[in-house]
Amino acid sequence: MAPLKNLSSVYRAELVHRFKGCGLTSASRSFSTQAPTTGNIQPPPPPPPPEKTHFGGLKDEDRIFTNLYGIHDPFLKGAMKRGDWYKTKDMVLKGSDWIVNEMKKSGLRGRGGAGFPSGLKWSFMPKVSDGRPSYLVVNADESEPGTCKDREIMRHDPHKLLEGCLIAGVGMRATAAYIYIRGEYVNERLNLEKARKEAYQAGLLGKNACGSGYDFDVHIHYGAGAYICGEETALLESLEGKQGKPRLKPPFPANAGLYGCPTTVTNVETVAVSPTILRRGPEWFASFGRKNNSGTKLFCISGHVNKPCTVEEEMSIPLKELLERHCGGVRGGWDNLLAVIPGGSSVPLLPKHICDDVLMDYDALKAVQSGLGTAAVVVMDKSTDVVDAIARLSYFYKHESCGQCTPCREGTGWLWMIMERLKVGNAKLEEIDMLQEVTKQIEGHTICALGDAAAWPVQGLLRHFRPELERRIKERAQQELLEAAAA
Amino acid sequence: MGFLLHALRRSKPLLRSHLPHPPSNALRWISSSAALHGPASSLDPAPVDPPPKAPVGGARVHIPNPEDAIEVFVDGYPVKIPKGMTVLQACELAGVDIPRFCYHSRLSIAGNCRMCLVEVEKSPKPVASCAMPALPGMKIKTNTPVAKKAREGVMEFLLMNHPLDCPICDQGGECDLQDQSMAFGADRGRFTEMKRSVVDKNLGPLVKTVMTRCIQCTRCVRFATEIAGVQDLGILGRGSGEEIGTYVEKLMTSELSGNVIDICPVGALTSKPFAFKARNWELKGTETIDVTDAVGSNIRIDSRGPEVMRIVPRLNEDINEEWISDKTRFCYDGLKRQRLNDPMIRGPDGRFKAVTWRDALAVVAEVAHQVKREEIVGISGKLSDAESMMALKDFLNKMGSDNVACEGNGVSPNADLRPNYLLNTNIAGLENADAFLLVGTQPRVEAPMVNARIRKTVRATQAKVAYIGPPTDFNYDHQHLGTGPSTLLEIAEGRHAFCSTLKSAKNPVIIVGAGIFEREDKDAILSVVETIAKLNNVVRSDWNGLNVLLLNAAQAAALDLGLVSNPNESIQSAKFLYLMGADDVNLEKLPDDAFVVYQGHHGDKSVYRANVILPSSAFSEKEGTYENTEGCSQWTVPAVPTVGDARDDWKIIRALSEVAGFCLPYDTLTGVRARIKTVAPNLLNVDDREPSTVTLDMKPSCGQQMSPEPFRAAVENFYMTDSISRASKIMAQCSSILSKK
Amino acid sequence: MAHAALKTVKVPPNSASLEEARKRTIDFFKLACRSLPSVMEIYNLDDVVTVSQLRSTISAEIRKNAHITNPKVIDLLLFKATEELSNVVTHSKQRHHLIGQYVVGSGLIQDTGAKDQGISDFLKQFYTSNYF
Repeated sequence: MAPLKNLSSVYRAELVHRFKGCGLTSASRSFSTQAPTTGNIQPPPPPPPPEKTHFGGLKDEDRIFTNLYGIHDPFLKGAMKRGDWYKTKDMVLKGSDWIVNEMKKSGLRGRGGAGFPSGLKWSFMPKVSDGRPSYLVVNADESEPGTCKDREIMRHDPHKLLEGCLIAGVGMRATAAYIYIRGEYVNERLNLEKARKEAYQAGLLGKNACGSGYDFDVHIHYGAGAYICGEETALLESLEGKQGKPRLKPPFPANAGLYGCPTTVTNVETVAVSPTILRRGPEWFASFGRKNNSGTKLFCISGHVNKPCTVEEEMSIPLKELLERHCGGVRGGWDNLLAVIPGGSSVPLLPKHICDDVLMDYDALKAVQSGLGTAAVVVMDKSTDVVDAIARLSYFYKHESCGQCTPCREGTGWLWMIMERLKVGNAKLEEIDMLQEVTKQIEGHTICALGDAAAWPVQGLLRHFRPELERRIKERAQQELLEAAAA
Repeated sequence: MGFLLHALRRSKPLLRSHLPHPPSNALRWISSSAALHGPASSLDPAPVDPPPKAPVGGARVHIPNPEDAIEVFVDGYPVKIPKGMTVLQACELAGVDIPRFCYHSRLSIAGNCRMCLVEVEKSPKPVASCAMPALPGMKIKTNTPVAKKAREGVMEFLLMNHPLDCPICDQGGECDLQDQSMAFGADRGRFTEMKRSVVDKNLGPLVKTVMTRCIQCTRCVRFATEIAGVQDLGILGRGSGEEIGTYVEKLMTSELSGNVIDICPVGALTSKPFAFKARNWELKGTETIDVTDAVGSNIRIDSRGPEVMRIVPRLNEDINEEWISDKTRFCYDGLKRQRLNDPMIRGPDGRFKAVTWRDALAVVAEVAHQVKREEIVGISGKLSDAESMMALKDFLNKMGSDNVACEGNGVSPNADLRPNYLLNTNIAGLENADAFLLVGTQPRVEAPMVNARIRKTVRATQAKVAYIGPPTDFNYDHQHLGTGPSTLLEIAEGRHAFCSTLKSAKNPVIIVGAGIFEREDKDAILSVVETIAKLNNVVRSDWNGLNVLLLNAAQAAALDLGLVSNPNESIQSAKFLYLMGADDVNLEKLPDDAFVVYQGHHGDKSVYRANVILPSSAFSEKEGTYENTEGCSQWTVPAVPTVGDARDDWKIIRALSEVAGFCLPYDTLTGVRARIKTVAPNLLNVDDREPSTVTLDMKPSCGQQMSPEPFRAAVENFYMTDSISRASKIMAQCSSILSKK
Repeated sequence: MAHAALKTVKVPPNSASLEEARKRTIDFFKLACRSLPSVMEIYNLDDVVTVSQLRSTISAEIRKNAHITNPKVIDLLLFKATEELSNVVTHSKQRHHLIGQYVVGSGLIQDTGAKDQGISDFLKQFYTSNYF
């Protein structure tokens, strides 16, 4: 459920966009990969590289997660060999403002789903404590169907996460970090526990972390396997030992979060990439991907591809290239593609004609009325019953709705019931419009973003596969007519 | 219902198109129907503003600090509100009633029903007004298409799994869901699948559950945890399988459990005794007060014909807010049982025989003449009103006896100074306290509404509570300091750990239970309490924290009127005992040849010893003045006619006085009140509390010795304390099921 | 029979004298008494009252107006009485009406004047009802 946590801050993200100027919005709308040449403030030190027109093909030396596939030692010795915990002390000593500024410069956007700029988010934390401690909470409750990036990080590169906790913690003046791991992630949890123990023994965490004089504790908490606990406030409730039900906002966690103290909830990947960004410089990170969608990203490709995998790639890589370069292409060739869910189960799917040339980044996918989400690409070839697939997602959201607020509690169940009937065409044609209206009644009326997440896949289906639904309804009506005539 | 009216008023533009004759005062419609006037009127540059609406429910706002006031715009009207108010409250002040289910002004904000969605300018999504703080300059729009659509959508979802059983639902007619779906819902449903059904829960003998009707607003859960202080209710399951329930099969054991019936916006929690008895539109509501304890909760008696059908609370911020205790709410069936219908005389065979008033009064008058003056004793009961106590005292005094007392006031009560027996801080004033010392009182059973107020204070300000008395239940954090007067002495001498808390408290409160009135050494205890009060600055010019919590409705007025003889002594030599509803008097020492007149409405304990029964009317049937433990007088109002041949208490005594030849000089209630005015004028100032002006120094010192005997519980069984609740079947069920053994 | 006599209630010419009015009154009393057995039957009054009790009730009702000397007034009262009797006999009333009015009703309270001498209005009212 990782992406959900940030979806609710879409609004804030939008504000930021508006604030930053309209030049980039027009750029993204036109699918142009050309960065605007003038009027943009570029970081002066390295002169702007020749504008890239093509993204993707990340070189090995630019990879952040160098042990993504677990071929090396995931623990302290191996991690240090790969560069983790290198000069961490120096970075801590440079202070909070430096860290936040570097993060802002890198253009890193939250990897949990909503894509809220991380540096900005970290800067919301109070600069001067009013007596309450501040907390960093790492959302490792990765339950979004199709997503498995945090799993790989925690399993094979746990020290990246722990080091990131320290860096992010210092950046937001937190005294402790809580890592909330999904209950089903048993091996990941064990690896992380072991890594944490190592880090404490090596003096990298705890009192006087890395010898920097900064006291920083990391606690690991196991969830019990509820999707909704990936929503940031529900996660906090769960962490406090209550029912995992989202809180009302405002107050936002940055004001009153865990145990009423200022808290920032971030995704595992966001935290884990931050030390490398600081070590290699924000300009390096910003050089990947399109403007405002910079960096590298873990993509989790599943479904009907020849080699499903999790891979670190440059942002803004074309979807087609991503699939063909790393996954051996769609099963039965590109023409056998039916649709792709580009960002985990909670974003609308894209039919093949859009997949042909869409870029995998926040703005490009938003422009085609979908979203990058967690970058969990679910590929469906022509053998898929796409209605059934979305109906299954509806069932998932019905099952995982916390039941706190009305539209989601009642609406998700209704969506699922209608979807089950549409699957076999047992419906009237008008009900397709009704379904669309019901999704609109859920969307935006709920406390958290789960309502939106339940509505969007169905909206995507209606947007792109309405003829398919109509065909099924008509066919069934025809068949019933014939049966009635035969009887 | 008022809600519906509001809603209709707001939807006038729509209604108007259906009205055959447009209303004459067209001014009120101008702004809303500009479109109907054609292009000419739309040219009008400044459309006439409709007059500002009155705040919903007479809501008023008090802005303590003018700098904290902010201005927001509700549907274009500017409204000034204090900082920190929610959007919903701002709308209420502007006269716009926002539909809501989960929001309740006295409970924490849940924000989960989503019915109160409104549009706020510059916000991409509609916001839940109950949870959103109003910000300066916020432009709130409550009747835009977006807001209407959002409400309609939420309403459709709420009705989706709500059964269509309004015709057999007890909430029908006073159901928020019904009203609001009429006002804000769609005119047809689109949901064709199966509805969910939920197993009903057993919450005990008072609250009936039909859980399928529940809309998961969680008001009851929040009430139970926040106000009632019991962790009994909670949410089970998630998503569409979500249910309200006790986690394990368990009854709701709170003395305030009945209030969940009122706060449930649908028919999920209804009154079990009232189930299928009446529809609310058949009932006549009478606004009166409760007499089952000394708090005088404001209630409304709903009656149909001669029968009391139910009792519901009435808002009074100073006394009971909007809650009442279960005893108040459910004792009403006691008003129908064990009633005394006719005057009766005990014959030689020991059986009662119904006679006429004429004969009964003649017999009583005759006996009264045969006994010596000092052998005449009168005792008024727990439920007596001030008028009848006045009449009783006057009557006995005229006959030459001064032995008039009120049960529960104990041995020669000290009634010279009013603050000595009143809750001087006032119930609402308890909220300002930051340390409580409870001496021999168990407020949870003695006065649940006072207890609720203490709990509210403890929750809001973490006030410290210390308790001296027998082990008992509390629903808030407290320290149990000890069981007897010795602990009190330790505090008075500054040897106790709690002294520092008391000393450092800004507004300390000491509450002494009226149970100690029955102790022989009560004067000594009271003087020790006064010492503590003196040491800790409990009584100051701006704060009087020294309180007595009375037990019965009649007590305060009896002390005011001077019914202060010592019944324990006088009863031993009584030959003519007049019991006016006194059932808890110890009659063991009464001489066998004493003649006992019982005047009352229930065949309760004392009737077994009575020689003559004179039936009187209960509090629901008469007009009377009661003074509550704060010293606030209130009136009961007759809701139903008297039962059988019963008469009002004061009338009986007035009639008897005439028959006996000591005719009292008043014929009307006004006359009795004029007489009261000469004795205790404060009793006539209804809803008025006289601030106490007495300082501790004015009290005489006391040379009594304290006995080490521990304090005793004043109320053995919360559900059965007086003749009405003892006659009640519901209360009997409660005490057998809910009372802890 | 009584029924036939009561079929039509006509307004008779005024009584010329008090004597005639008195005779008419006695005639009415006889008529009423004669209808009593059928009244007992119609309203099933056997278990609550006897014919003689009812008879005395009727006479008490008539005696209530003993002080009236104006023949015109007597005629009018007689007319009302005949009308009432016809209502009773034609079963236009219900059982509880009869019981309430003539068996246990206030009309039956025997003259209490002697005892109530010298008591206050309050006490008089007190004996009647709680509401005054």
